[in-house]
Amino acid sequence: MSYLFQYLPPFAADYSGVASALHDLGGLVVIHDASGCTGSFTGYDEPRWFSGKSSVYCSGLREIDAIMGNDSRLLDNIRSIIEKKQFNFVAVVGSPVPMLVGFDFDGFARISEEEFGIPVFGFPTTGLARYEQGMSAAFLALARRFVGEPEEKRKGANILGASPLDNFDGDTLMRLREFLAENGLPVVSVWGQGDEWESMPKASSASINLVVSAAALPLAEYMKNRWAIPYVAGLPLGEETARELKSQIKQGGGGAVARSGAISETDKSARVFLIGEQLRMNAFRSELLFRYPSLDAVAGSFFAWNASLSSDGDCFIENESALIRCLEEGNFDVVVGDPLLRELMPGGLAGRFVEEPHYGLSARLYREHSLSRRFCSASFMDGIAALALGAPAPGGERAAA
Amino acid sequence: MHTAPVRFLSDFACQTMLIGEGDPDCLLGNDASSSCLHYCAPTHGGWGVIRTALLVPEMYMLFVCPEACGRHGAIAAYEHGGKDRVGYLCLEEDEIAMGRYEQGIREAVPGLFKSLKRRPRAFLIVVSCIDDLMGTDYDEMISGFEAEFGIPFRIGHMNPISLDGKLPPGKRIQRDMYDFIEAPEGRDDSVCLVGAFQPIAKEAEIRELLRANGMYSLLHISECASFDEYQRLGRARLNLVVRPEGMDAAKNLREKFGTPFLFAPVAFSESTIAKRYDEISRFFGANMANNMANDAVNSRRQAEKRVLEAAGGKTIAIDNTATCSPFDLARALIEAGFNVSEIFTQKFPVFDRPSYGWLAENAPGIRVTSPIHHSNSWLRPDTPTADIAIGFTAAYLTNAPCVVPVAFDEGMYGHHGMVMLLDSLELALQGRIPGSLEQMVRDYGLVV
Repeated sequence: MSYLFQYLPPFAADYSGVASALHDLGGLVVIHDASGCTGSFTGYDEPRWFSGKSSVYCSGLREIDAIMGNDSRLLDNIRSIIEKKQFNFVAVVGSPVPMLVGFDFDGFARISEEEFGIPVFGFPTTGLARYEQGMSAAFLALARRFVGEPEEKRKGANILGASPLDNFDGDTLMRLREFLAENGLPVVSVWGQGDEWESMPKASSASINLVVSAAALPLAEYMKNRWAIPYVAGLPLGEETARELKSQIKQGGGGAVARSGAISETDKSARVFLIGEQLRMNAFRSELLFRYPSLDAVAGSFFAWNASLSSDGDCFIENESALIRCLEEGNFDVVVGDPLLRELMPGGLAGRFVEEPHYGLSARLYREHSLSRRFCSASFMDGIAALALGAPAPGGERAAA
Repeated sequence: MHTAPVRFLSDFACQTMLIGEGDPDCLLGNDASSSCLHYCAPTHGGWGVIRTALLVPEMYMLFVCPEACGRHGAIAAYEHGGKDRVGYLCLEEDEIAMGRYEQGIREAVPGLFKSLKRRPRAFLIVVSCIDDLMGTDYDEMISGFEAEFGIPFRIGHMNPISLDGKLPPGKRIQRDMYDFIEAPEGRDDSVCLVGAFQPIAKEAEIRELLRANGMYSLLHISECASFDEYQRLGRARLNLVVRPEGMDAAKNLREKFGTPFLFAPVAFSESTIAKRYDEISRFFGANMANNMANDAVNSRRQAEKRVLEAAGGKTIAIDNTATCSPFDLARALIEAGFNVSEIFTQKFPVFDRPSYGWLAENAPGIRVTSPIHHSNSWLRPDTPTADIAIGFTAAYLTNAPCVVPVAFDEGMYGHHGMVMLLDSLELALQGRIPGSLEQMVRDYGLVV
């Protein structure tokens, strides 16, 4: 059944997730749409677009093509560009109209690959799903097609899921690299942004995967099943999360860093609702409860959700009205989330709202926000706690934008 | 007997050509656009459906579409301060497959009326590309809503899939937004500006010309503070269409209320402006326009002389986001002694073709480049290929160090419009326009 967004913007779509995951890999990415879908990705969901030279294009789909099934125009136009420039692969990415007319992405990819002689992917994205689903599909397609068999001696780590749509940028990646280096793990490959095409086939030679967003969990599971690479999922944002991850890496991975409130109902002093990407919110919770054990904290997300990484009270939030219900029923003292969520806060909660921008939600509106600001940022946790416990917030970093 | 040669798709779609040598069909127009993958520069966009339609005061828009289709407009609505007037009814796959999302609309609209802080005076339900292929009939639903809520409802379209059709989204949304105008009870001494996104500058000589013909107000929709004020647009004696996006709105108003319209698109060269003013004068049965514009011409020539001294022989690139008449702007600049080197456009409107012809004859070395051609993604230069760029896309694709941030002819018309552009060029040359191109684009808030 259709659902309403009265206060929030619709979220980044599945095709943006695919295009984002492939952005830095030297492929020819064609969003099969009229104009708006590609424009949504390049203009709103992709912070790298302004300074980049990536080849993401719009197919320029028109009504007559859709009605007549004129797929040869798309094939011709791809051919004309491939004749001029070398690409590592071609990806044809779906949008609502191809879904409606039943465009055969697999068939088109097969025919194209035969004709062009380079790998061609067809992603039947629809614009009805959200970015993390597209991202997961792209990661899996790349792994299945391009990652080779491991070398005999495994070494280092892959970083899985470092997408700009989850506010990962160069500074954040540097923090992650530093953390892995401190643990004796050179980075083998990065999935999500900024990696060389050449490093991807070597990903199976890593000894462990660090999963930094829930969208990359299917990839981690695939690599675990296929090449027996264990994984840890989380973000080393501070002392506690770094310690937990380090411990799990030492144990050879295989777990998550979600942490329960772990105190009885009667003892809890205040309740915090952390809304955003699941692994980021889990890391916030760990750091928050480490510093303020009397707090209760639950996480929720509109996006990729993995039950095994959730704690009691955590929830997947389907849409805007589901969040409104959560907020009405949750008895929260403080809410952390994207600034656009502030308008949904009932009663006094608007004054006890801590901003944590999420690109997949608010796109370019808060583009300056870097997740790197949350590393070793005790003041951010202190600000949340101060609001929750009724004390004035200590200056610091409570407003992120 | 000669027969026209058969042309294949591969015959179209070059990226660039010299204006004096190339075949414009290879570069400009729908055939050329359809024969290449489209590059989408970060400067792509404009006013978009939402920002344009929100010019109608006190109107609420409900988009009915897949979630993805609403994203860019919603983010833009935040940027332009209108998100509280826009909602999204996001469709699920089964509703689309079965063609039964009308029920969702029937439930959503009454809910919105309960929760909106301000009751709207007009309501636009906007459907997307998929609706073009489904052919939903909304008439009964709309009538029902109008009876229930006592305000006008309309169906709008955000359907870029029809971009090469007779009624692309940019024109269609203007037709739909002016369709809320009710039958006027009479006429007043006003002219309504249609197609322009902003009013023409107060100092523009067109206002004097109209006053001389008894037209004391040049109305623009953005100056209407309320839905009641907006209704005053219907009393205009003439709809003056200054950008092509307004054509179907004007035709619709002529059909409904008999309001005449005149298509006199923004121009820059003295001869084209004179032609426009002749047409306007003829409408009023007068023949005085160009005498009246003498002062404006003198001001313009002074500005040209002053700015030319500063610009010297620097190369200038122009794009079709700056103006709907890039060829005429190029002509105007060349006639004034400037050095225009490149024009970025994929369009070839009939009204700008005479200036294209003039340029082909008088400045054949100007490059014409399609901003949507796929090769732009890797050919974009690291070192500038023009000294000055007029328009954001020209700035991006040439990497020009001096950017003149004019867009969509805003405020510009006639000789005064040329002076506005030259003033902006002078500021840019003096380094007095702050910020990087990225910052300028961000501040402008282009809408896809």
